[in-house]
Amino acid sequence: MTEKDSDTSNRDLLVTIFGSLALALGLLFFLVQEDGTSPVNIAWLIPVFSIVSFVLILLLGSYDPRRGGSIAVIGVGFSSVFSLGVAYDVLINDVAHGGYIESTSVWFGGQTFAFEFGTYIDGLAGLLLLVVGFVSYLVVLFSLGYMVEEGDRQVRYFAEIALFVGVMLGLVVANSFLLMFIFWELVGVCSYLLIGFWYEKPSAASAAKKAFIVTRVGDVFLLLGLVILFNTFGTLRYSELFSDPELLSENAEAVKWATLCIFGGAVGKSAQFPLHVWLPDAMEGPTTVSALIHAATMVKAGVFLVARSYPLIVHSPDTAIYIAVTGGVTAFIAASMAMVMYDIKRVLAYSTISQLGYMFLGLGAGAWAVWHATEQGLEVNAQGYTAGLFHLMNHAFFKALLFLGSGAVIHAVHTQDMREMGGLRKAMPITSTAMGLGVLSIAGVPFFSGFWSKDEILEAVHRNWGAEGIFGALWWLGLLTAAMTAFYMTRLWMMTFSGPAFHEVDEVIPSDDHSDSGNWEVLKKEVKIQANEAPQVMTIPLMILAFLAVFSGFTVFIGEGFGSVVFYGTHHSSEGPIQWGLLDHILSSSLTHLSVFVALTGVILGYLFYKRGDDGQTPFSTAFVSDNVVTSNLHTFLSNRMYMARLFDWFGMRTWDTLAMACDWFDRNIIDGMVNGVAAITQIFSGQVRKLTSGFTGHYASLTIGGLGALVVVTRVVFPLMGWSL
Amino acid sequence: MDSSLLFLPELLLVASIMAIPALYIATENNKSYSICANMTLALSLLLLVLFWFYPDEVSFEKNSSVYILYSHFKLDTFSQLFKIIFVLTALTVSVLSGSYFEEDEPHQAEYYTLLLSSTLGMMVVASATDFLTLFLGIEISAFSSYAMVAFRKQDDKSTEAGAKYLLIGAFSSALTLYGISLLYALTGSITFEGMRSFFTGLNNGVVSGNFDEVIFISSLFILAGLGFKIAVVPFHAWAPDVYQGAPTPVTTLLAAGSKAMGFVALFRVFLFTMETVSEEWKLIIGIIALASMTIGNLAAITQEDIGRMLAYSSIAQAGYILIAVPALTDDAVSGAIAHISVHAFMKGGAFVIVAGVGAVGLGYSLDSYKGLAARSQLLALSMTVCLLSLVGIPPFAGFISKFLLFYGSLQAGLSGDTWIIALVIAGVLNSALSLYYYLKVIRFMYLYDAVDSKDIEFSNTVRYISFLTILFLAIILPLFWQSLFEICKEATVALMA
Amino acid sequence: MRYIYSFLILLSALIMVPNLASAEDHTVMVGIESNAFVFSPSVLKISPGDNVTFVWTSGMGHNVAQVSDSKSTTYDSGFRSGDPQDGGEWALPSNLTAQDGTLYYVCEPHTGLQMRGQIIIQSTPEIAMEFGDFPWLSYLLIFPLIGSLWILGFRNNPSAPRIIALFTTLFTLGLSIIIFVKAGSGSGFRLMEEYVWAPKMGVSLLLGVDGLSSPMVLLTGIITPLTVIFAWHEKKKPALFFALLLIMQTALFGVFITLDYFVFYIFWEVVLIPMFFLIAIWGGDNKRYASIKFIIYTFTASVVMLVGFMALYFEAGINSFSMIEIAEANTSFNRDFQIWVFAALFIGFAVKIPSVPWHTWLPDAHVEAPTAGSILLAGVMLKMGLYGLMRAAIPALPLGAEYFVPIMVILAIVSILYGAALSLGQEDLKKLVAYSSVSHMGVALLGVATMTELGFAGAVFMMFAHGILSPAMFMVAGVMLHQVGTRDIPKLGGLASYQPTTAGVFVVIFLGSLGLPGMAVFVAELAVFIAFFQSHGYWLILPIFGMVLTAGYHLWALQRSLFGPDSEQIEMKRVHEAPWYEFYPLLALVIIAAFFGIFPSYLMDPITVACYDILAFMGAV
Repeated sequence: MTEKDSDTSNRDLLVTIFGSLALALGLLFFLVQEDGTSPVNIAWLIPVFSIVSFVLILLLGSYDPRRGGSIAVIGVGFSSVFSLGVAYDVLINDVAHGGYIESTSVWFGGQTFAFEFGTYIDGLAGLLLLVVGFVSYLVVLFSLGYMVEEGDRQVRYFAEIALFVGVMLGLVVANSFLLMFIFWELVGVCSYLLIGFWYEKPSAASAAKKAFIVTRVGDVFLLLGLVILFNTFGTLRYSELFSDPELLSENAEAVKWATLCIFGGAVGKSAQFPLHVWLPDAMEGPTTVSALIHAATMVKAGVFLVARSYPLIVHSPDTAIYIAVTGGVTAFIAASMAMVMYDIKRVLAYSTISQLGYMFLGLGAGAWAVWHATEQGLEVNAQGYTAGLFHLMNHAFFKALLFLGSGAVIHAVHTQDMREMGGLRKAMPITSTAMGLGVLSIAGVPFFSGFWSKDEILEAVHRNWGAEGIFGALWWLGLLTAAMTAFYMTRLWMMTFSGPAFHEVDEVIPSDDHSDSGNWEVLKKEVKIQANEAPQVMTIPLMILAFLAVFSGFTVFIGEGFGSVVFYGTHHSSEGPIQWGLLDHILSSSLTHLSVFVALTGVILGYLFYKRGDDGQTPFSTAFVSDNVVTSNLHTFLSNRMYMARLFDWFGMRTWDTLAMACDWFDRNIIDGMVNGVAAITQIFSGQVRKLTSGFTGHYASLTIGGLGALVVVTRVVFPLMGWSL
Repeated sequence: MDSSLLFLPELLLVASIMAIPALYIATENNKSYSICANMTLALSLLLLVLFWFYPDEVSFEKNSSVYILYSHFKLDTFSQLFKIIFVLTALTVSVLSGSYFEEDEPHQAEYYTLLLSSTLGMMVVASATDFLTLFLGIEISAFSSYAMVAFRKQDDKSTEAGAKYLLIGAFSSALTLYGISLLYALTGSITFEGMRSFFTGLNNGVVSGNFDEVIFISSLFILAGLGFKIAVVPFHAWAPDVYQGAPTPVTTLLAAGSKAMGFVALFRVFLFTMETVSEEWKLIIGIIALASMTIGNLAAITQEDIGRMLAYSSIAQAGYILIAVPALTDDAVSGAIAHISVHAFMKGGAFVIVAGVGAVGLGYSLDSYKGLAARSQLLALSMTVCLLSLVGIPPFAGFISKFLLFYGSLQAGLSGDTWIIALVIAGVLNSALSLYYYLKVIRFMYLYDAVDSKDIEFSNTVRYISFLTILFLAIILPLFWQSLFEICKEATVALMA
Repeated sequence: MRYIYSFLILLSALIMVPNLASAEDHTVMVGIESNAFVFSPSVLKISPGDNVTFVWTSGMGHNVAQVSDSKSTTYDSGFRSGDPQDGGEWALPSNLTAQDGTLYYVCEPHTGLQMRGQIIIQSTPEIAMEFGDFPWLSYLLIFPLIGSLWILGFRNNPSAPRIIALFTTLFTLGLSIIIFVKAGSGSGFRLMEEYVWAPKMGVSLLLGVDGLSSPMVLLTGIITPLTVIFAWHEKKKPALFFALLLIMQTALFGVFITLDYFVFYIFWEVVLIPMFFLIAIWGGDNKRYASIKFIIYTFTASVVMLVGFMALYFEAGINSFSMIEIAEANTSFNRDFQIWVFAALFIGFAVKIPSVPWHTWLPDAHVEAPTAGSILLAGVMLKMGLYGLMRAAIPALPLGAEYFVPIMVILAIVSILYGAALSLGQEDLKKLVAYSSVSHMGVALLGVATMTELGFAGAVFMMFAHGILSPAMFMVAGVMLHQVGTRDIPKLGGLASYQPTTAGVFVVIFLGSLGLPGMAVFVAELAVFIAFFQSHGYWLILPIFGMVLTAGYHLWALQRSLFGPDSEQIEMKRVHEAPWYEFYPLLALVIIAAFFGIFPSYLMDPITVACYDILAFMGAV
């Protein structure tokens, strides 16, 4: 589009954005005035806006110059404003007073059962509303620029995005496990639709299917958990389930199985080991979708679910430990695989999995600590809970930043392979700086947001070491992962941005098994990077996110601190504008020093290995890997994603195909064969029987006599012999 | 009025049996014979119906019976009902014959005379009170029908069928006669009443002695003779050949009329006369019923000729009806009577269409029914109704009557003879089996195109009759089936009193 | 011969040796092998007039003494046994069990061991009936018939038949909506009408709707006009085609609104005839085989059912075929009788459902039937089986139903998994949908087998939901056949790029059918699974695992047919958006499915009431 067009379109875009935001604010205040209460009471409107805009886009999208984009911006904008309003009321004004505010009504019911729906707002919901509402809105804005080349298909894109955001918000505000599950499923469906956005690409279509089915496995567990809960406690409403700890501890066994099943759901959605295989493939979708999935919506749903069912989990130490272990192991495995990927989006995907692992590690540790404390009659302190959710928030910001950044890069250079990049720093100053901040943040470099939360998680895990040995192992695992994270993120940034603008690289073409291993084949070639900075509609979101990525961490001790609004169990709120005590504790703790040291090591190693020189080459040569047998095998093993994807595909395809074929054969030949067999046999008999009528009169006479004889024999001989009588 | 008026229908037939040969001497016009026969039959049908609905006029109570001809001839509800069926069938046959035979078909006078005399024989059987009258009636109708089967001398199939029918018929009449004579020797009486009283005495020890063997053998032989009439396994073998060979109107008479007559005789003998010594013949009839419904249906499946197929189907139907005989309860027997009468209509209707299709030269193989729907919706529909009705698919009359039949038998089964339940279940499963070959015809009529594309004009008679059939089987009977049941109930009471 | 053997084995799955307990005489064991200090059963439900006998098994010197409530331990008044020795017996005075109430008793020496029990005397409740002031229901039966005759009047007019058919079906749709609303969610039967047919036999045309039948009436009303629209451009014998559709509609309505076994059976069979002709005349290449197989298979099953009906009639001995009166007389049926008769009825219904292993007529019938036929077959006819089970079998034969619960559970689970696995293997889209119907109806059967209100409600809801969505699936198959001339999934591919809107609707339908929340099927599955866990605990893992398979085959079919690169085997330029008469029925079905998925209570309220009544009537709640 020409300069002028873009100007006008930008202008009307600005009008749309700020107009809608102003309108939304106005509506919010008006409604609050009407109600005379807090936005919390109208929280049900939050998902409605987006879902309505989804319908509107389907109906009117094609008339919109931006192909539904503006409608999406308006609808999601309304949702975001309202969710931020609710978040403000809950987190800052603390209208819930550390408890919850619920509204409920019956969905359907009979004489012996009832299912309710409604909203349930507490600190947790507030936090998620903040993150989801905010990040989603930025992503939608970013999409306006990013998807413009798609033409009419944008209608579908924006419709699905709006629905995606809507159902995620609905999941957050739902007041019962049932309603939550409904939105949970819808989130899965939306991700299916968005990952398969370019459905004409077979890889995209199958990635979408894979994502849906793998998460569906988790969903089945979740549903099982729900069923167990409903049959044990006769309700699925949070408020009723959580209200009576005694009842919960009485039914410890049921609670244990229920929570395990529920966590199974989380494992599927949040791509934890062993159900993590779908997430890297999900990169087949547009990058904005990946950003949404990874930062705000889908994968965070799992963490939210676990946090939401905390009151149940704290009654089942097994579940708690299982969660922690899964988290730790996943974090490590994913990080190790992230270290060898060359596809920039896959690196980010694995880092997401790894970071989610951190969150689960924290949550698990916290839950176990709570159980332990209650057992010992100590004072309950669920540091891990706060830490995990703290990390969730921070991660949302910097991961959105990183994805959108990588999106901008891909947008510019039209490749996803980092070896083909390099030297983008000068070309894309804003993007590179923003991503640089994001990298530092996720790497856990002090005073960036990732540092605070990761450190808290490790501390929470370390606390339990004394009481339960396994947390020691998990702590070491977490520490190691921290180093690896720092390393591969630095690697990513260096390979992408450092070095001169043009240089000789290995030309890279996707290898045959790219679809599941992400491997590339290498040929020498001369490339010149020519990339321009992305348009403002894309850079501005980046800048905002970058700001948050740096500073969101400080919320932990600004005001009463993050922990005063998002916590489980008891909480000491110490007055004061800044929590000096907490700050002092963190900075003086030897654990902190250790993790800082680890993080810095990672960064430095990454810099040394992957800083592109003036020739654009990285000092770290592939020769080093290929030369010695250990590293080369390890490299192959990791870059084949530990062959798990292969295993899953094999399992998915072979077994089910075989089963289906077997059943089909059985059905055709045995069951149906019996039916047809009966028919065939009847035909045969019929052929035999008609021979009775031979056409010869003599035969008929003898048949009569013979028949009489037979009757005599039957009645006078057979029946008496068999002892039958009438 | 005098109750001997009740004899008027028979007398009418006798009169016109004498009249037609006289007419033959008077005129060569073939039409006149058929007109005469039609008139006679119509009139006597009218009389019978009048008697049925206005019994008081002829001082006839439904629940009692009138004896005439020195009480050799009994007029009761049972006999009147069946007379109506016989005469109605005969009327249909003679009307049908009018359109079936060409104008110049020779010997029509004899044909109609024989038709009337055969009908007369059936009526005699219906009213017989002793074995002699019974046998006399059977033979009157039998001999006339032998001649009628072989009526088309130039047609080999017809003559062959006639010969077979005659031989086997004579053979089985001999068996019957032997059975009867044994009974006579045993009981010293020839009337049903007398024998019944003897057997009752035997039962409650008034008469001493063990006559099981005699009773067994005689019942066996009588059964053989009557089994030939109603064409049940193993006395059925003649039926396919004869049904196939005989001129279709005659086949109609055999399938609808003569079969019913056989059942009348059977009922008189077993349900009335020998009711009290039922131990063994119950079992025998049960076995025969089972065998003939199964074998009949099985054999029908692979038939290529419509006549043979319908023959086997009526063998199977006879099997169903026989279920009710060992049940020995009023409901079962009235169910059986209902099914006999409805079966007369279904089979009659089917054969009317066979005759119609045959008369226009399409032939008698199943293939000749391909594309019949395209040629005449009415005939195809009527055939469909008849066949579905024979299967016993609701809501057609066949379902109603079959339901009544099984209903009564199952009741008997549940309230005692449990083995009858097995017969009933065999019966319903058999009807499912029979669906196959009936559907074959229906499929041919609707789903296939005609083998030859010559357009055909069917005779109006066939059209009218088939229309009436539809009306009767699909609408009237299903709507008023309770009154059907009532009528049959009255007949049963009269029979088993 | 192996055919015969395996066939017998199949049959023997149904017929088992019934044990000889009688319904009227109950025994309470005083002490059992495992524990000498309990009454077994400790809670006994009986109906008034039944006899209760206490049987002493152990020589622990137990006695039986009435106490005031379930807590108290002191005998003050009421019945009290002596202390019979080991093996002794003591019969409860029959006057105590005359009227409703609850008797609590303890063993006085062992009250400390909480050796107590209770006898609940509960007479089966009356069924509420309310006769209508206006013959809505008989209109429902008459109008389609009139319509069909009317059509036959315009046999040669090209467009009159479809217009008349559309008019008539829309009219009946209006009627059925009115009836659904008027039936409301009250307990018992509404809008009842009775037309005497054969009083001596106790047969009368007894019509009435309750929460169980009104959804089915509504379903039939909704599906038929859509079928007519979808078949708008039927070229071959349109008059006969639409006339048969209307006759079919009458018969289906008849099945759902008659409360008389005899008439029920008549309509039940009449349904077969039009469907047979629909398959046989307008069917595919193999139509002859399919139609014959369809009609003989189902007819064989239902004649057995008829014998069962007659047996019920005689055993009740009230000279009436009315389902209500026979059900109210069911206390006089002893257990063996109930088991055998239930077996007979179950055969008839299981074939219609269809439950594995009696399902093989279904894929053939579906594959060969014209789309309109498939729609009615899957949409409404398959519901007759479960409806009959819940309307005609269970209320009249509670003990038989109880006895058959394990068999129903096994059959249902097998149907779910086996059906899903089969769908996974199919290449013909229609066959895939047919097998998916087997799987879905398996879920519904599972719901019935739970014998809980939630399960029943789930089952009925599934009947409705599947009745909306599987026709939509068949329409999808029909659209594909019209456009690219094949339903062979491997041959398809990349259609979405050429018909984005239609493809969008397809996707929604498939997702809905695999249980997407917000569509009707989800509600049903949820209810059934929860209920099944209530009644059978962790066996739930088996059927719930079917959800994954279901998702698998739906999505795989989508991926192979709509998505991916353009297929070489079909000419892509023929592919375009579906024409209006195919698109709008699809859209309508999607909207309906979504509506009842989001607001299930509109259906659930009547359904739950009816299901609760049935269970209360059985004494199961």
